Amino acid sequence: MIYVMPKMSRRDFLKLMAITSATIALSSPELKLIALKERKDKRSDEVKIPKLEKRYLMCGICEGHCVLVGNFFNGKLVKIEGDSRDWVSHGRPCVKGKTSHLILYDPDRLKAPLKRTNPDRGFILDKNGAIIDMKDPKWVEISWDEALDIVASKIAEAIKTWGPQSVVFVGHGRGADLASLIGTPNVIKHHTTCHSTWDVSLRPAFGGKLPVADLANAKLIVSFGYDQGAGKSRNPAVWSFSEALKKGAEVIVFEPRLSETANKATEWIPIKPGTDLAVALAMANVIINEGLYDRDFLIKYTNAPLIIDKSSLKYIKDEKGNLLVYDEFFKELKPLSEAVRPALFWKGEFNGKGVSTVLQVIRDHIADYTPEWAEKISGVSAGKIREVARKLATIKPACIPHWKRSGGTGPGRAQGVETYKVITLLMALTGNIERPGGWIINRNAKFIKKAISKKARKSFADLYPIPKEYQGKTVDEKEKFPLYYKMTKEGVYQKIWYNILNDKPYPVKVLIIWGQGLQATIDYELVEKAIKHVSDDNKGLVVNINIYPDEMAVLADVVLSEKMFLEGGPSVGYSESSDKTYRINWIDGIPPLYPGVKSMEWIAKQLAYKIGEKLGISKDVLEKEYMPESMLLSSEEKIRKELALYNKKVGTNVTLEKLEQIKVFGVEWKPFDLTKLPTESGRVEILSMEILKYGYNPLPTWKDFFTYKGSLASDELAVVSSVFAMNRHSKTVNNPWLRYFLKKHHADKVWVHPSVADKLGLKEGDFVIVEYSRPFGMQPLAKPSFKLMAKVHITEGIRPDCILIPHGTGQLSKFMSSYKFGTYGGDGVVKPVYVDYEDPSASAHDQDIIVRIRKVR
Amino acid sequence: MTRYGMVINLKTCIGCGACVAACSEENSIILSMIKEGAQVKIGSRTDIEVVEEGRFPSAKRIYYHHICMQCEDPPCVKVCPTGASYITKDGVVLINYEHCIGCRYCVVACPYGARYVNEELRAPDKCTFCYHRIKEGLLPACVEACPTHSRIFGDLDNPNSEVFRLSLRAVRPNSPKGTNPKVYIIPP
Repeated sequence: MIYVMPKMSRRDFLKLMAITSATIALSSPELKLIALKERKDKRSDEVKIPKLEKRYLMCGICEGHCVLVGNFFNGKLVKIEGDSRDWVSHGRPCVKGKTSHLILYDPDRLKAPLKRTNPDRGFILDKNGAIIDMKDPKWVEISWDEALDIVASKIAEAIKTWGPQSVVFVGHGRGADLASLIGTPNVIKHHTTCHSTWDVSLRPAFGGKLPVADLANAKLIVSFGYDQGAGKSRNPAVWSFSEALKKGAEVIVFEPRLSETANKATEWIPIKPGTDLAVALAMANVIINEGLYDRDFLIKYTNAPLIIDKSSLKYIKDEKGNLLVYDEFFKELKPLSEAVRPALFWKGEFNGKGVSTVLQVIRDHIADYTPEWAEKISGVSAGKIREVARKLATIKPACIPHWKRSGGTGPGRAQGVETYKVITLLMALTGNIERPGGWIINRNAKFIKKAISKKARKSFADLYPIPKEYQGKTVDEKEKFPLYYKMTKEGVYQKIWYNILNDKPYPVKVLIIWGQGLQATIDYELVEKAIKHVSDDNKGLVVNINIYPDEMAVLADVVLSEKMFLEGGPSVGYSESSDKTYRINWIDGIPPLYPGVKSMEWIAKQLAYKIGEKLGISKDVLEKEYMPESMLLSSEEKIRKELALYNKKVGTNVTLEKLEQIKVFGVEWKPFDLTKLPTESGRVEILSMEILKYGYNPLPTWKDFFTYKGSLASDELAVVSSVFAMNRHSKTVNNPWLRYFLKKHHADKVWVHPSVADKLGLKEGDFVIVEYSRPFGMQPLAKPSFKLMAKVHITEGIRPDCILIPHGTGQLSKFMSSYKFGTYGGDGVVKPVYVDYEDPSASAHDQDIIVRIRKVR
Repeated sequence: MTRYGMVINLKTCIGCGACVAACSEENSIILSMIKEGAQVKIGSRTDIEVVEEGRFPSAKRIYYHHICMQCEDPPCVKVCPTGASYITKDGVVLINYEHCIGCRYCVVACPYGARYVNEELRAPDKCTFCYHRIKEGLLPACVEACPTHSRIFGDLDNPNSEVFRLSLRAVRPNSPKGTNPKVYIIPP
């Protein structure tokens, strides 16, 4: 290959610039003199590394929470590095964390609380019905005292007159201690648009534990839309994926668009959106029917040989409660512990009931899911499906990485829950669990969070109880998804705006949106209406706690300025994402830049005091009887408690003093005993009894509404969403360096295939209007009527029937430098609200739609 | 003899820009020691360009890296009228601002467009392989920052080094003027 510089006009530009400016420079000797005088004359090879003060920090961009080492030059944070002892980042934080000092020093940051003076709020639409701007809130700066007073008196009023349930917290679980003190059940996270599918499909198979992909040692990687490593640049996935590539691993990617993982893959298979499940089912079918499964692994570590009732699917046990298997040696049913040669496939009778082995039930269930059947649905040829299935079963170790929102397994697609069941089955069939290069049980130290209780000892609900008819009901209906609620204790994010607007199951008086951006929400129109409803119709208050004056802040009544994640400390950190080493780390922290920015803990505590005061509870009584531990302990006490729990669970002996000295601590990875899992059988359950217990079907099943049928109209396209390596929505979009890279990757545009562009007469960079057209199959609860305006990127890297709408690059708050960068509003503008009560994960299904596009004239 | 070189592995590069960010961070500190407030603006010394190639379904995105090739026979040094551009004994092309008159001949002479004019310095600037770091035994900032380990740095004359091993299966950018770059590319 000849390496030619890209078609860069840069050099021509520089050439031109050099000549013109050289003329100027030489023709004005004064200028040159000044230039020389200002320079401290130095040869480049004599320059020494400046003395930089180092402080340990922790990244807060994603849940990976990499250890960051901040380098300070003249007291200013100028450079961020990693620490190589940190397994999560391998000493190399991603570009978002590495440049987070630009967020710290961002002039757009909130520096004090704000109050809106313009009662008119919402989006401004153009004549096409597309969002183009937002109404100015006409903010005035207010003191913290005034801000807390406004918020606390509204909360107190709501508690007294409507009940504690009328106070709602939306965000990443922030303010949970305050919510507990108030006594409201409404603390809502965004899981159902993010990873609720793994919570209900994957966790039950491992008794609540979560396996993660150990790509670094894999020889084969088969991805169903997985793009967390290369595409989303999430450490450590990005490190392990690149390790695999360097070792020459084969990578096969099923994905409608050329994601970054697909770009690096050996083979990119552009599958029809929403059909990954069909291919996965057919692969399982091939592996079972061709006898390519790992017999030893299935018998030793999974529930495949266990005997279940064919109709109820429950385990058959003997009188002593032992789980049974069919012994091929004795030709009879035997307790698991006494069996000589358990059979994987067997059916027969037991006490007059039809019984069979788990794997037999699965084989019968997926018998019709042949590669030929899958070809008709997905467009992937039967031969290719067979080939990939055989590779998956024979190349070891092999891995099907899985993660979150994007692709075939995420809650963005209705098929996500079922796909997770099949990939768990595939990984078990091929024996790639808890082995290097396959799935390994996640070993992060997230559990130390539990050391400090956030539960109030006594809540305001004891004085002002929730009205009887509202008890046990939440704004997001989490009680209707018992398995999901058990696994996560989280809410149904896409439903909240709809319910708030319709006062279901009760009216909301105070809405506290804590660090949740609008870019991650679904249906902007609904959000706007819901916020207006709370503030105007219910005479309530919408509070936004934020670091940026972003779109959500522009919609709110009061904006409170929070500190950003690098500020504060010292404290102890840990990864909430995949980790292999139970890493904990010391955070030196840095003092907040502005006196007007406050920590989450401070805001919650001050609000608690103020609300207590308004309800007639004195400070002393509040501290003595009400407040949860998390509000009372000093930071040092908290760290000591957290370390004590860590040492107990991991079996180490780390003291606060030692951690402060060594900064990063972790333990070596050792294999985990897969027969001692907290599942009913103690084993990996490829047919989960936990799912069954909650009344859902544990067998992976294809349903017709998972993808669209027939052909699309000439202006219709199926939606694909994606996150880019340099983007984490409203958290990072104001970082100018990241926007520089996002632009290069065309992440600020929607992507279509050249054939679509020809049909609609589009050129690169033309503006298009994207509007919601119809669902794949299931009817949504609410259809968006707002339209999305965006520039178009024409690329060969996408299926001709799809459109890529990047997730979270649109910003319409004019108080930010990212104003009108990217799409006009986020991808949520055109996404409808789905709630499927049959789906145990309460997934948002927000990508299962067809949109219509046209050129803006 | 030490002969510093770099291999850029486009097989693993995801085009995230961490190298570009690291370069700007690191070298802005250094430039501000030469002149207060001087910076390496993002994408100046090194940059990435995203280029799409091929037709669906075999389309690819390729990330071209823009960086000084640290030529064995650098044209920028040849054209410098004052000798401000020079090459160190370990093969790194640098600028001595003591002698630089800001004529910018070097900017025009570079066939790779690797030099640019730094507005604050009012003089040409370029990648130095982070010479201040490598002489202390550290890696250049971009190499140390790359999350996918796609930039590999070391001594090309040392047969035990990773950079030597990888350079054997890498390609050299074309060298129209016989410049012989010391930055190698592993094609995607």
